[in-house]
Amino acid sequence: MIYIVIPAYNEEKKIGLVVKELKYSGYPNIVVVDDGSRDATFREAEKAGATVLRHIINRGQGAGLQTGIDYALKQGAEIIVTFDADGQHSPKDIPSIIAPVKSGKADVALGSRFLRKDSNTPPVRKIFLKAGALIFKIFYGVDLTDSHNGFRALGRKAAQTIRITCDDMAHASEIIEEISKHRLRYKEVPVTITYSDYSKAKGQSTLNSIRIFFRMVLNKLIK
Amino acid sequence: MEFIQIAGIIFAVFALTRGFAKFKKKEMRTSGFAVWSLLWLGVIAIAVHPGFTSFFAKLVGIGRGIDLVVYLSILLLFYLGFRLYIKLEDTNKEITRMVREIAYKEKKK
Repeated sequence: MIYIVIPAYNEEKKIGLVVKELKYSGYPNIVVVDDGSRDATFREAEKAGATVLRHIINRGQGAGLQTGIDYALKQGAEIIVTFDADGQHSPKDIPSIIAPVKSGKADVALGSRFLRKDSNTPPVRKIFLKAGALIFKIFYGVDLTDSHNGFRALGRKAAQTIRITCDDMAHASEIIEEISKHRLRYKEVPVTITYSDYSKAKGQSTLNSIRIFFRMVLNKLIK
Repeated sequence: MEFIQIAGIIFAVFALTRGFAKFKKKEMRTSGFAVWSLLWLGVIAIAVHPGFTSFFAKLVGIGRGIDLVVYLSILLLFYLGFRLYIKLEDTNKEITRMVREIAYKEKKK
């Protein structure tokens, strides 16, 4: 059973479309986690036909993701696909991202926007992502081309093993760390990221990336 | 006696009385009050006889007594800051755990 988990914060304009598109593409099990949105995200997601969980206050994308993953596991999910709520991901990429996990060749499949001929990524974002990938290699020994992609497929065992404790955007790095720590088999799969003015405006700020880096270093020191 | 010595003693006595008041109201634990009192009695001792710091400074190999006090204070502040950061992270994680539980309970209804 495939479950799509979508953490969402203030995405009333897009979530309905995203959920409907997934349903039409043949994925009925959709879990949206409304992370304390102040708009109509919950209603829109429910209207579109998703199972919606609600955080009463905003905790961060990492927290929303873990809540959704735990719930999907409880429902008996065998493969969990993490998917963005802002329309940057395409359901057309789902078959290719679950393929390595389905065949048993990998425990986790990670989407990469750079494996395909990519030309839409804003240059500053590209630099930071490439720098991030290098840091992952040094810190965790994990070789990736894309260091921050919300499109992933997790096998049941991997989803049960990985614990996301960082509530904020640093969770993406934490997932990579967990993969490295538990020696999970991973494979990168090319996916298309659709940038729109909407999603670019909501994207990761440069300052945030620096903050996440420091958090990562600090957390490593503490552990 | 210099002005700063008198000011230091007055402030230390004030801090001690505030601590004592909290301790009496059970808002401060015995261990906390002990540490607090020790700190401010130390301040009074140094204010009354600044030469105390020189003794310790020479012991460790630092020139001036007050330098040693500043160095130790900075180290202490770093440590306390670090402890606070950890506590804050733990508290945040607990809040997330609660919010998650509420999300599941709401779903069950």
